[in-house]
Amino acid sequence: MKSLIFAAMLMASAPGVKEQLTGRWEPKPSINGNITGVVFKPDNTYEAYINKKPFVSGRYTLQDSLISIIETACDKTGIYRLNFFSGSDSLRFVPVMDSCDQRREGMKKLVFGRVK
Amino acid sequence: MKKNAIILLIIFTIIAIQAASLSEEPSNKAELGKILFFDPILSRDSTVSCASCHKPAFAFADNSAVSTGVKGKKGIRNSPSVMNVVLRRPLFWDGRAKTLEEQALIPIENPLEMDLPIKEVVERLQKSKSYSSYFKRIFNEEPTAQNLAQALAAFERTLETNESAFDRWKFSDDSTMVTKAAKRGFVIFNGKGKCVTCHFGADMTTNEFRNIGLFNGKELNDSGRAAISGNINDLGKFKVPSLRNIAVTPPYMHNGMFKTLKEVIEFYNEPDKHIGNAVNRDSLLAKPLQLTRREKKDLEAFLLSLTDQQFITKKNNRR
Repeated sequence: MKSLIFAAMLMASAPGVKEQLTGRWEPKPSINGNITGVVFKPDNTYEAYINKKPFVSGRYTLQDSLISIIETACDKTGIYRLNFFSGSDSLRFVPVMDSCDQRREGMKKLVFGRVK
Repeated sequence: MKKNAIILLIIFTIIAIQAASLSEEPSNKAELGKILFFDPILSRDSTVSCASCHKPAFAFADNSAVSTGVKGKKGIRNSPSVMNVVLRRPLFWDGRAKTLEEQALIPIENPLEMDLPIKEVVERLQKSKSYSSYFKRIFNEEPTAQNLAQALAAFERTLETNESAFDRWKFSDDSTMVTKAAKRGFVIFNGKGKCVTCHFGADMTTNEFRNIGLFNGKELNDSGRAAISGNINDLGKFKVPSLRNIAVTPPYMHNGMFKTLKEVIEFYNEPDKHIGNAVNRDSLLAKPLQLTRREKKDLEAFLLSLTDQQFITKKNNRR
């Protein structure tokens, strides 16, 4: 019974997180002026880009504040905790498990701002 | 009263004309770089500019297999597009330049291209009243090799394109942005065609050097990267080019040997059929891809979807 309630809570919380996540996110431009970013789409796919040029496509699933991602550049699943702050306009991806070293190292340094 | 109004009108007109003429003068490095890019003053006989071989209509590439330099001299490699170079490192087919600034000066001195020592270029620019004043305003100094390179590189950095059908498809939820054939082609690009292995990233290149089998030490004897690195393993390797705007940059490959994308796809599908005695060819191309006729067409449709809107509009306007 407890697990049913827990599952129900997860399901209830998921749409809220998805609404928060859906849309375009960008960190500050790099020293060279390059702007990376990611668009999370409602259909559970995302596109990462540099200077408005897509370079990685992927799929994501949400479970409460955990996001699982798998993409063309690395076919191993990465799991991150979504840390929204500043009224959900800022977002940090805290690595939980990701064997794609380059992606993990890149993600943990970045703070994303919502692009309105 | 009427007289005063006329005088005021004349004064405003003069100010407006002066303002308009001033606005044609460069106000930053990129604008200065643009003027220099199109000015043959940078070549020995003042007949060749950067734009002679990097033509705007062809995504700043050349539509000849090799370009023509001063006195009709022919180059030895196909002029690549200088669009989408912000993320490119190193530069040139053989990677001889580490930065855009370094790249910008090399064709000026190349005897087969513009054939003018940088020292002489700088003297010319210093003697030119307009250039001298532009450089002083923008760099607070007379023209030098360094600020010339900075200006040209700054202009090249403005030549980024990100408005292709492919871009729009990727960023929107609208699946009609590209054709069904292009979508199937994208799947082949990432799978059976193995293209993504080398053409991965925002500009569809990993910036690596690869030997695709266009070196046989005989009629195809450009050693490519090896001449720069001195490494025998680099024999016949060339920098993987970006695929953005590929449809408007024929001919293809470092020597411009393929005139169409169809020919390129046929080559990759069965390299041995085209170059049977290739030396040091990448193992990725060891076996024929065995693409069907439809798969080849789909792959081409995907490549066409990488053309920026500005070229599609221009093409339509020419019809």
